[in-house]
Amino acid sequence: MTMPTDSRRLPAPDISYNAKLFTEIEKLSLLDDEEKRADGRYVTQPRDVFLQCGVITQAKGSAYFEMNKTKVICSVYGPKDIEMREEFQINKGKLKCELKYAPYSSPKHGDHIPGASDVEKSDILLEAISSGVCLQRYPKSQIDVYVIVLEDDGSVMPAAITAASVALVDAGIEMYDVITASSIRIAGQDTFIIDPTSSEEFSPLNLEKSNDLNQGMVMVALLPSINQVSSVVSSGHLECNVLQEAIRSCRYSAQNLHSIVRKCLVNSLKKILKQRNTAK
Amino acid sequence: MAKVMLGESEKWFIIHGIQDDMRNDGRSCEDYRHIEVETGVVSNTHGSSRLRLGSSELLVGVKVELGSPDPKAPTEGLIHFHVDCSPNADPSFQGRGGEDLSANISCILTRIYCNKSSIDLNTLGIIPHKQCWVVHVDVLILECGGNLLDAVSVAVKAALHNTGVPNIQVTDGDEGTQEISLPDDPNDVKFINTINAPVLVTISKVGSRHVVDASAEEELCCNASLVMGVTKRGRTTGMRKMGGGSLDPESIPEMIGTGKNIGRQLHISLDKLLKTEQGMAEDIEKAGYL
Repeated sequence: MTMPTDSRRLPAPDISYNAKLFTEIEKLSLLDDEEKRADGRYVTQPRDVFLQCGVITQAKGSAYFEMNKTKVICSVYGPKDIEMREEFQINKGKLKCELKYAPYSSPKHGDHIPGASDVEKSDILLEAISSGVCLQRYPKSQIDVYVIVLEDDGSVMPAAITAASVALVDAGIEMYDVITASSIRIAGQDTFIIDPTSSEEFSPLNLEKSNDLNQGMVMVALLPSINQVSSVVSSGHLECNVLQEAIRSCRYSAQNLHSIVRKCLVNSLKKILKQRNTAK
Repeated sequence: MAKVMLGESEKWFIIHGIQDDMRNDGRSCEDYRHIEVETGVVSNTHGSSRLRLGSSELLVGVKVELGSPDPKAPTEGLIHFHVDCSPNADPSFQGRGGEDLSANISCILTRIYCNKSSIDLNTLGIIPHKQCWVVHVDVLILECGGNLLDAVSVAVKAALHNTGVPNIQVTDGDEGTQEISLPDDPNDVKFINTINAPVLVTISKVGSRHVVDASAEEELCCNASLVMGVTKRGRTTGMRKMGGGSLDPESIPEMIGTGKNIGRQLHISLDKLLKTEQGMAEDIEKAGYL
């Protein structure tokens, strides 16, 4: 398979394979006898979230989002003068998003060569957060959002979207609402696994043999207070009613994230006010 | 996508018209524009198709090459999509300008084809772990007239249907190796089975109603649209919301339902056309670009 090489990094020998390919790959089933997953969670149980803003002091706003082994960091710069004259819009500002994976983020080295899929993910991120930002308050300006995935253990897009919206709030950008997101793995008509890890995520290469053709994944990004969906992405072969049901469950899961996001932002504000008071 | 400029009052005119189920060209909200599809138009490829939808014009060429399979799926072949936005369609596509659009379209195509059921990749395997067929699907966008994604997916399905993979023979060579031999007859091919290949349907939200097959002007009036890959049996193989606006959660099931019905009808018409074309094969004169 000819893959585009990353010209900025020293290349490994032309043909190099991961040693793990030659070992016996133990195929763990998604759920064991007690309906528990590989890491002991139940099907409807998301991972514990650690969310903190103001982690990058140089940036206008920043956020760090961690769900066990999925770690994402986001920084926001702006509003600033728009870079390219052609994209100048008189009545509203421009939001620019970039999502990147660190080279050590995936189990296999160099799995994420910057390519078309990174551009698409950046666009999905942009579409997810655009509806929450009051761009008409920043005419002729540009707001940059940079997200880096430090470690990828599944559910990266929801983590990136939530981190980006918290970073925007931390930067003081006016918004209609925060954006929370969640993803679900569908492994059969009735099996919806919330917040999958990378081994549970949908990939046509690691599907178990199952009679049920409904295998796939859904991600939903939500504006929780006003109940609007800002992004829906699904992959895999699904029947329409299963898809609709999965979207509903995903919305519910994203709604639950709202309280965590609110708590994080309130704590951050309390800390800033305390620092200001002690400084006086 | 294409650079069409509309004033505020023009946008409101379109939105109000759609509210009353009357679009600018007289269609109803669920009608497609006239679609022309022709296969076997490029002689250097293993399969090709040309499509015209309204004022969108595309050319798809499929070439199959020998390659090595993915170590994680040693018996399966590979399929790669590449989209090229030519400056013919829009001067801003010159150089690297059209890259973002190409990346998005090829990722969406990869998403809807990348599952066990769309194309049976096991039929593209030759020698497990060593050789397989790699199908390169190259889409060339010559004109953008709105609703590019639907047009691309229909053209890709038609081109894949027209693609003949040479019948290969695997024989045992010396020292336990296996040798492959290609047939001498260029017509000794096996066509790719596209019975489960999906087609994209874009449902755009304009005002409070949703429309299918938005023209370039209508695309400017819509903030959010849902693009879904639908198979002949009405199952979805991928979905993505596009656009910077937000969707009401109640309208999503409705849009999915519409997409499913429209997708099925699109498949029926396309399959009928492809069958007729296959039957006629030698007799028809290719109209091409005349």
